[in-house]
Amino acid sequence: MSHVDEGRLHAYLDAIERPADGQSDDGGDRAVIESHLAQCAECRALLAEARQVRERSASLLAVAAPAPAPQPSFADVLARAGRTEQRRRLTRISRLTALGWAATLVLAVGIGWIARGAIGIGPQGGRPPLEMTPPTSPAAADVGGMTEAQADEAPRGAPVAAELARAADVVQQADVRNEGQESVEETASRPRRGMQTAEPSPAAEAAIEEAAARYEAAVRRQQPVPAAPTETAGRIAGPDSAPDARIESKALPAGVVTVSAVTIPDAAVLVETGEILLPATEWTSADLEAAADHLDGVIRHIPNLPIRSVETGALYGEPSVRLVQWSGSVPVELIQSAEVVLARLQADSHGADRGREAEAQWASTAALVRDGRMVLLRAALPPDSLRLLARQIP
Amino acid sequence: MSVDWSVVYRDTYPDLVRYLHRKVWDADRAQDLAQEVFVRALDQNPDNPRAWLFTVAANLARDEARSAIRRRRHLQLVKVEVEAATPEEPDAILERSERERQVRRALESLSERDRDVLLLWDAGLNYEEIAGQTGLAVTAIGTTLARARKRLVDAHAALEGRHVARG
Repeated sequence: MSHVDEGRLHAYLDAIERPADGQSDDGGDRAVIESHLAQCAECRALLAEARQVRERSASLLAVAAPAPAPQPSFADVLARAGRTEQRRRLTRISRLTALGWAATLVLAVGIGWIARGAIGIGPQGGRPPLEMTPPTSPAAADVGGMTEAQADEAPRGAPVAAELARAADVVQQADVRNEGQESVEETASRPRRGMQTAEPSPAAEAAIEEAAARYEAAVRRQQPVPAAPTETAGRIAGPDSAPDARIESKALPAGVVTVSAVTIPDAAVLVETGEILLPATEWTSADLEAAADHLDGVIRHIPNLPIRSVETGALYGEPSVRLVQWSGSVPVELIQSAEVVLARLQADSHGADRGREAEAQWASTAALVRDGRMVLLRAALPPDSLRLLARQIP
Repeated sequence: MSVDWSVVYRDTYPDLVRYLHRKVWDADRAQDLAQEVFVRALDQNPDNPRAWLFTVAANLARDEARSAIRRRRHLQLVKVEVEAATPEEPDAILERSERERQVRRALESLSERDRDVLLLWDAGLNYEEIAGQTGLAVTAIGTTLARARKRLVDAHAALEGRHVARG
């Protein structure tokens, strides 16, 4: 018999590990392989190597396994399924309502049109005008060669057409939203094979973009923007840092980062997510006391992580403090400022260069608000790790 | 065919979370997506639940990568954020993150097909199920797994070497 290739050896080992599966290697092949191994030292060495690779690979994957977390009860899933179904019904109902409004409008216009004819005021009514009165003014008479009744009809027709167009828009928008929602859900629910991919519908994308634009516009209306100063590197200071230690702004990923979560206290909703673009800012080194004075409040930090630098500056004209804490080679940046700055950052980050997202894929941002102040965390960490760190902040 | 979804949920949810976590690299999001997969399964009631669940999970993870979808998901994650703090120490979080980052980079150096096969096997699928999910022949799964494992180990060793050299 020829030697056993690597693929078969892995299948053989997999079948030993999970005999219940049965499909990875049938009993016949297993007997043939074992018989060959008994007399082939070369293949036994290959098997030992394959075993090592399997074990090492499994241990690496274990490192990337999520931390153990309690499994939500099945009742939670059922409740969520119920809410989803309810939402779907509401969407259907709102679509029908919109269609109903449009139909009513069309019917009303039609009845009005017929009624006009019946009482003889329309150009195609059952009775012709009994008497043509002479024009009372040149302006009233000069209506482009139309009869007075026709002239009367023209400006009335325009609002009706506009109303119909608006009604059609309402229906279309309802369709777009509905189809968009269904499209995204169905796209994900539809089993795909191999490397096939399916794009989310343009309607769904458009609906989401529209919502984002509305939010952005609302934020812009509320927040006037002062000019942003220019960026310089920061200098190390602070009670916990060595006097000769230095850190530069570029030690942390700059520019576009992925937001993991943004909380607003006493509100059930996190405002917005996406990419956050930090404006260029001049930071000046300070100690904790001076920073607290600058901020006019307490400086928050992650407990049990050394503070490497403290700097003060201004974001959108609001006094701000930048703190860098790190352990080993992972710096974590905490930017503290007024709560309004968070909304400004989010608004300004819309439409940012999304091409840089991949570049900054490990740069996460988590934001929280404590006592009316924003604490924005940035680090080259996965979002869930950063969220865990954010939760430590008192 | 009648499916006891509570049993399927109990047995498959942890595997789904593990699989999704290595796709989206966010534990909270992986859990949220895993629940979403079951919500859709309850609606569709597929005949072959396990294969269906992983197929939909793969699709959801793919869609999750799109920023528009991600934006919506985060709105749902807000509530998680305000829950009780975890007792894990910051140092431990950072160390775990660093280790996970190395593995993630090693995994990302694999071809999509190799990575998929490896993650599906690790999530508990057998060769036939993996073949059904990926479109590969059952006989090709062993070879693909052997290659994927070797590449993962080699890529990680190379990254570690670079990390050590940088000091």
